[in-house]
Amino acid sequence: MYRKLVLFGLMFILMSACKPSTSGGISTTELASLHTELMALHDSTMVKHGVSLKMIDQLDQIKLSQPEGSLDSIRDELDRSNEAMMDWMAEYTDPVTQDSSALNYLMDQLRLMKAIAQTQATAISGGKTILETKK
Amino acid sequence: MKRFPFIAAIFFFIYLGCKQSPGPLPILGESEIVDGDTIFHQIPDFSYLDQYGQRFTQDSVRSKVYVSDFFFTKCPTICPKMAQQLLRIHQQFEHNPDFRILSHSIDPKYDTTEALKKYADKLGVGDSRTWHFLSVPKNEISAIAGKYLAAVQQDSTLEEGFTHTGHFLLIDQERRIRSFCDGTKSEEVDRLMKEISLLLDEKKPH
Repeated sequence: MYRKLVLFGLMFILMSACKPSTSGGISTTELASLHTELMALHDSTMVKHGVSLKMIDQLDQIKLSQPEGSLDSIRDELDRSNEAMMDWMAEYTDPVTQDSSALNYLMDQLRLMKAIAQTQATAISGGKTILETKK
Repeated sequence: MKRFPFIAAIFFFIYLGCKQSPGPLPILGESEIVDGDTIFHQIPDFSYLDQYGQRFTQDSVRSKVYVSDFFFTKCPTICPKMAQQLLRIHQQFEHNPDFRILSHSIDPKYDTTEALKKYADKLGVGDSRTWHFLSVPKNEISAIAGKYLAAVQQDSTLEEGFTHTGHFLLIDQERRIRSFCDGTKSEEVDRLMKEISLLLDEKKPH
């Protein structure tokens, strides 16, 4: 009986150790992975920010020789997506707590970042199409 | 036994003769031949405001060696790592009058002169005359970044998104690109620091 109790105790300790730590009911690994996902998306969006800037330059060059109103809308779209990215970064701060408010904040920020990335992808795709036709 | 010092001396001189001193750093970027002369890729003239609100131009780096990078103060990922590595470079070369660091901000909307000064203060280099934080106008970012990163794009499979790559570029006294490294990796920055010393010695009279 004594040995069974010890064995049970050991198993309980082992299971407790394997369980991810929680803070206010929120798993810290869940917070960390959400943060990692957000920062990875930020980095990939910022890489495309450079593509977008270069595209704006190319559109401006075309406008110098062929003044066309149709280029303005895609140029503005690219510009707006770049601004949105910079605005997001100016507003964003890493959460200092590890509770449900931090989880909600990171989830909101991830939603925002996904929307920015989508707007940017659409603008870049539109820009590519126009630049192809102007070649 | 009497011949041992003589033989040892011969081996010593052979060793000295075989030991290669590092050659000059290559000149990177595309070059062209014009009238028999090689024209190397060069950083074009520029004029930006720095963290002190002063105009910083190509004349400010005339005959100087400098390290250049692209960043923005609100960047939460690679820029803080790059800043830590640039601090190491600053620490080693800040007293050399022939050396500068030029950090170009790609976020002119938020990285105003005041924001850049605040950022420099936070890094502990608020009064540095070696490290200049430059605000690049929005419509000039793509062109100037393209000129600096031409060498990187030539030598690697880097995608077009050049403004968030974490590279440090080493520029010589004639505004030619001589080396670059991943500014987030300390071992690569160690190598770059050795190359900075080499470049600073290149033009010294012997």
